[in-house]
Amino acid sequence: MARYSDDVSPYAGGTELLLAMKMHFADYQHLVDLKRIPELRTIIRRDDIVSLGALATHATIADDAIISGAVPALGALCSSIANARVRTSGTIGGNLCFAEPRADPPVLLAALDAQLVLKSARGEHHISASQFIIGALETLRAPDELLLRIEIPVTACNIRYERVVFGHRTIAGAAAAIPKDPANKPRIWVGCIGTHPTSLPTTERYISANPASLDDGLTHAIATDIGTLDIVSDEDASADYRRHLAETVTRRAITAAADKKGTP
Amino acid sequence: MRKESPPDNNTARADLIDKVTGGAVYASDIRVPRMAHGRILRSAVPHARITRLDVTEASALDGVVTILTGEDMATLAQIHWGLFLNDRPVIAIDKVRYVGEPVALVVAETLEIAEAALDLIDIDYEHLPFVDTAAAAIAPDAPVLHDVHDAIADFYFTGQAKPVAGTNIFQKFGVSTGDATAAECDAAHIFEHTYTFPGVSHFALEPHSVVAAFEGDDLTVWSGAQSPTAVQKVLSRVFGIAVANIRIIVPFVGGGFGGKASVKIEPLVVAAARKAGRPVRVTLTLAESMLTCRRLGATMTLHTSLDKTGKILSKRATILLDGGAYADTGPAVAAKAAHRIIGPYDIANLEIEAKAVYTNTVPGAAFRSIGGPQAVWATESQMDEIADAMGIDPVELRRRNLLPRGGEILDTLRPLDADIGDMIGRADQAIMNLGDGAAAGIAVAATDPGILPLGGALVRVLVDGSIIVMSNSVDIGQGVRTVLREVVAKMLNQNPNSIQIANPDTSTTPFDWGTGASRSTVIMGLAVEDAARDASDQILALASSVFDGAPNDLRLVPGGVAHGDEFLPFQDVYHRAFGVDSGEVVGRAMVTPTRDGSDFKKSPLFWETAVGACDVDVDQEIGTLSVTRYVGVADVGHAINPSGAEGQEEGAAVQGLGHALFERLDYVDGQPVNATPIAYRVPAIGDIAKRAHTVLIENGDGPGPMGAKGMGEGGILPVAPAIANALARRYGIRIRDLPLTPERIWRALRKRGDDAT
Amino acid sequence: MTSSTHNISMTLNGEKTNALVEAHTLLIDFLRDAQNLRGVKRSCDMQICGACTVLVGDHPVSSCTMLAVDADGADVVTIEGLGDRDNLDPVQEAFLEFGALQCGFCTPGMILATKALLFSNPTPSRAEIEHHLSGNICRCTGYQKIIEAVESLAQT
Repeated sequence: MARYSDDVSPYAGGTELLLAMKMHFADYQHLVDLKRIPELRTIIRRDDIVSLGALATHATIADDAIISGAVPALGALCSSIANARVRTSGTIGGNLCFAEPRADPPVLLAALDAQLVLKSARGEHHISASQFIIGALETLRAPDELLLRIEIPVTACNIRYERVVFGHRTIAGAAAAIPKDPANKPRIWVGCIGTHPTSLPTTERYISANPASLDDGLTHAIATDIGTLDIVSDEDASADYRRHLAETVTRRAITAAADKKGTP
Repeated sequence: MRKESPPDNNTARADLIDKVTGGAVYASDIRVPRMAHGRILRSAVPHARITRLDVTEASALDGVVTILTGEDMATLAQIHWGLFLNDRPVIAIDKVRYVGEPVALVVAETLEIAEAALDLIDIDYEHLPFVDTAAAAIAPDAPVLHDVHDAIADFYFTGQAKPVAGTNIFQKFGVSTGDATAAECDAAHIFEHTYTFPGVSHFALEPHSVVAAFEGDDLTVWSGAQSPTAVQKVLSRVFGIAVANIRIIVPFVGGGFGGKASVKIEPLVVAAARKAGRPVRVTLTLAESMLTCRRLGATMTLHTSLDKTGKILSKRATILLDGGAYADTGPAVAAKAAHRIIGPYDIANLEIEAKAVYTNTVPGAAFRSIGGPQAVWATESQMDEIADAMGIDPVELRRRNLLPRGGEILDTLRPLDADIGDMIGRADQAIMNLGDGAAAGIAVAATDPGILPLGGALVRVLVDGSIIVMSNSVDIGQGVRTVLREVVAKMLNQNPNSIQIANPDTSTTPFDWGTGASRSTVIMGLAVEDAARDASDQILALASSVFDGAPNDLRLVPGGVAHGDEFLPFQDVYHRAFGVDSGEVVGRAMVTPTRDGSDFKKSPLFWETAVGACDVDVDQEIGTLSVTRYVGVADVGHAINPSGAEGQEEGAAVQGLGHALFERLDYVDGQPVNATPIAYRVPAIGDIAKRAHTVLIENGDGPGPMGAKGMGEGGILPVAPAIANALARRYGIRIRDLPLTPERIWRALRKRGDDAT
Repeated sequence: MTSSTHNISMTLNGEKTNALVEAHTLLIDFLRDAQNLRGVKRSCDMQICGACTVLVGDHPVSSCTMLAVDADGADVVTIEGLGDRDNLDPVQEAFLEFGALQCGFCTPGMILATKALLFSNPTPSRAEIEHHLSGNICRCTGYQKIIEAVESLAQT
């Protein structure tokens, strides 16, 4: 890939890239087909880490026993992304690297505190999923780097992803990872409302300080965080409505995760 | 074997089997030898003068055959064409009038090359002021899109479109009875409300696709067209070719809904084939089809007066339709909207004015019940608003004003041939049967289909007893072939499986006005019935000489003719009558406004009626609405193909659901921002009501074969107002603008909350 | 894109098929143009509508957004490979029986998507049917009869 520099893109499921190229939003002279590298597809669990090959498709993740045991929220999300055909072809790594602002998995993976392992001729490079996407279609991946795998720590958390979808587009999505041990820090992320996923620090602090209460204080903390964000306005939702939706899904995700019936 | 009972799906099966096996050939599947491929360069600006169009570099690209531009138009017999106004150039000449208007057509050996050449075309524009709403188009200082209005005297029985010189108004249509102003003076209540309905996309899954091929002076066009003879006529005028030398062939069509009615890209593709000197195919993308035509958006203000008992005294209405850059069917849409906004009500004083105007947007066109969903949205929303304000039950208010069967909506129109009150009762019953009590919202409609009673057919009874029906009615999925087969089978007493329905082909098949306006079951149904009767008469006359008996003693039976206990196959009848073991009998018929025994000059031939009843559920935090129960009722006279008729109603209702909840072609600064399949939302399988039912009323009182009326459009009419009425009833919010998006519902709920505190 | 050609080999509708394709050829074009399988329908071209759905190893894919080279080594089934007039697949039979189609343009994709659903879940609930078919657009039928057809298959 280093040889073709700007004129090359790694290519996996093609659900985003081929579409972008057909619509002339992207143009590359060379595609490097990663699907020929089987290791990139495996899902394994080592101790308290689930290692998810970047080429695992949404359908594979949705049906995977390791995922449904360790991070069921991810399996549930992957079973409802886009449509059945996109789930067959689309990969989790492609989804992250394309960094489409409406994509759901980056939001959840950030809340899961996943680590991304990238590789180039220069060696391996770890980046937190929470830092990887820096803007619309922009990531910290260098042009010569490939995303190999995603490492998800398995922790004693209740995790929920909640979203509002109109047709096939997510209008707002929020992930809540609330530790069963209140001493540990919760992770609350929101996405699909601006250019890239964002954490909600005031909300996280509020939950740490008030682990049992889902009250007006929480609503206020969420509103405070989301009030600081740049929110897109488009034909699906104007900014103030989308802000309301972001607050709503965030509160729903936290409520569901805090509920003892929430997923382990 | 006699077949007395109505057909089951086994008859439809013959028409559907090719579609489940992949064998059905659609316009976009047509390939002809030496065919080149065309791609269209489209205007990226809403309104501009083309100052430079340089195709030198693109033409030089290896594999490019030719490039058609406005410069090629000079040699045409007629440069501008249209249905009611000659306003549209075959390709943009000096000006572009909307984003998406074709400015160049590259013809190349492959689509890929054509696509690559598009990028090499240089075009410069001098931008002109534009209008992307109807309101802006009628403002005093609005830029005028068309300098001249060349109206064609070709408007069904009512003269021609009435444009206003020097303005963007291309049609003005009024209805006036009684004295609305005087009636208002006596009224106890006057209500004025304004409702809007946006431009929406047909979204037929098969995009427009045309192949054009010249052979000497003869032109053959394969097109997914709903109106083959309209295409033929326009091509004849534009290219100066005799109608007889133009052959239009229509294979299966992947959805029409009016978007393939009249004429669309055929003149453009024919011009390219003529210049290229070889066959050219253009298949649009679905996104391009969205830039080709759409339903006209409307702003409607209703001024309705009532006495204190809830009897409507008068209705004044203004309808402003956004017709887009070219008039297309717009003049007829305006006329129909003016009729359809009245509703099935007894109103003595009416003052209605519909205006359709040019804007710098995608041309408006026919779409399932032209002007109907817009008009019914306004009228039926307002009925509930009035009922609410007067403290009358909405159904009761309607009952106090409904016309009985035989009542006149307008004295110029045929009396109402359905009992709307009875239909409401059936809707009530059906929704109760779905559980959870009465409907939260209902709406009713009666529309006058614009049916031109002009269509012919041939029925050829071949020597082996197989039968070919030749008709230019197009299979757009509505099941017309099944209906025609049933009618012929019944008339000739033959097995439906022995009957073939040929593809529409203007070179072999009599004129038909076109497939639309719910007319095929009635007009083509009668044409094939008459043609079959003609064939039957001829066969019995032949047989009478053979049997040595009067035709009256003979009867057709499957496969031949019977005389008492005697049976003679068609083959033997022909052999004995013609002297050879060959030949055929050709039955022919043409239905015209003066058809014997019919009163077809009076419009409409039948009323298309509908009642919709529903209940809704709203996620009040998010604003998303789901329809939990839906019932549609239609009076169809007789359902020749019951499953197909039900499917038409269900499909229409779900299109109505899309119009109600999701659909709107959005413009920002003259740019269509969601005219792509990704951005434009149509209903998916999870969006439909979980509990739904369709009621077909069959009294056998229609003008068509077996008492059928036309159908297939009515189901779309009541959906949006029924939903909005249910939303008002259940949640106390009234929304007057479609679609009922989650954001609009959320804002209305929030405002309701604010108002309450 | 730079053109390079590749030899591919696949099982297409049950038959071993070898072909030389350009790297950038989409599966839909390979199937429709090179293999003459016109039952694969092109509509949205953006993997939204499902008209071009084919099965690759029992899974539904949008052939408009998959490269032909990616089908190398795969088992590909189009509507033509499901059943013919005299030997219909039960899904085709159910669509006919329930009148679950009108214009028919979405039908090959809808039938193949149903086939894929039944492979992975022979007794889907209505909610599962809706979930699985949510990416197959039909503008004609209103879906009611499609649901009825698929539910009839789920009951057997």
